[in-house]
Amino acid sequence: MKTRQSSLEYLDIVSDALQIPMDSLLSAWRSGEDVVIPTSTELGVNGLYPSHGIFIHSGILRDYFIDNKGIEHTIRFPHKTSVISPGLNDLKVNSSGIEILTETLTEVEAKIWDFNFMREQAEQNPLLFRPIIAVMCEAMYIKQRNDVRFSACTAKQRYLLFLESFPGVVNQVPLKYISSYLKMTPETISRVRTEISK
Amino acid sequence: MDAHTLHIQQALGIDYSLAEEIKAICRPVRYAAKTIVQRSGVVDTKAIFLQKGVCKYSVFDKQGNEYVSRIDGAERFLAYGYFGFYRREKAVANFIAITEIEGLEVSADNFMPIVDRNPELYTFFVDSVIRRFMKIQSKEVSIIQKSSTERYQDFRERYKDVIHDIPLKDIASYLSIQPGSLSRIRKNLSS
Repeated sequence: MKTRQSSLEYLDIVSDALQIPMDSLLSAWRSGEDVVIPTSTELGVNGLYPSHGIFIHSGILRDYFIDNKGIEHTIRFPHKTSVISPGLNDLKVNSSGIEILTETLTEVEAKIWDFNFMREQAEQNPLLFRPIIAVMCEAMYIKQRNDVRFSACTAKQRYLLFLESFPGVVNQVPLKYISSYLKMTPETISRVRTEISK
Repeated sequence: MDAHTLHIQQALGIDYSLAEEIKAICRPVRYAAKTIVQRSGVVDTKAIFLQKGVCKYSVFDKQGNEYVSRIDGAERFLAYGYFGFYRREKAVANFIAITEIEGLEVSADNFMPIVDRNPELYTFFVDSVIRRFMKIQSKEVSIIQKSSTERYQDFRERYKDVIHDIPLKDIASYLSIQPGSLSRIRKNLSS
């Protein structure tokens, strides 16, 4: 598959910000495999692509965990140009022993890399460690930013922030997941939606 | 053997000779308590081998309320901001000294050429970012999963050496607990 224009723009920014020659970056980029993942596919440790990183061209996923009472909690909606790492065991299991799961909510077009292969490549050309680190920083930032922004908001502000943080996600994701993510009941969300549309 | 070099050697888990090379590009610094060492919105590519003191990462909302996302005492190598150090971009949070802090400061501009020649340092960076990511994830889960009291008890255990230096409002913010509730929790635990 030809490298997409949007990906090229992305790589250009990465190349510039991290001071990596574009040709090294492009060859690493092209070593990834282009895939289309069906809706409702479980990714990661127990699912598809157990040790891979994924760059999302289109489609939406969700990260969630199941608490010790068996209740599901949605904590993230990776989409568009986010890079996620469902297969990195270390990333998925936190100190409380709970595993963060990832599943596709729509069909997802993506590029995937095997982590071990990436690491080997980076050992050959250490500059390639830079995008790996940069991407993790970004994932961390998005996580933390939403935590902080959501923590002191009214229900309406939180919903508006959600629309802003995850553009295009709202119409494609079942209400129960949004409700779980925002820690608001579906009734509250409906009420807020009515208020906003007035 | 030099104490600074040993500190760097331990912090990064590297050879003494490489630690010496890094020490040569560091400068000893001391910041008074409450100093905003790095402001959000500014590009700062520095990091510190923290030797003494407690610091925090936080952001302020438009009303001036502070949200503490991270508190560090024991950790030995800290970028003032991940975005500045690893990506040369504007910081998204403030890096603030809670108590007086002391350490060895280094900028990415001087550090990265050494890192490029010694790729094992990249492995250290990758692992430290992964560890950080795990901590965020683990905090996220614990806020949903654990009671405020349990979260405070975990915090007290993990920061037992420095907890007396950390203002209650920072602890409350970090744990996402109302300051009033935190006082009540502390009172209940001590009685």
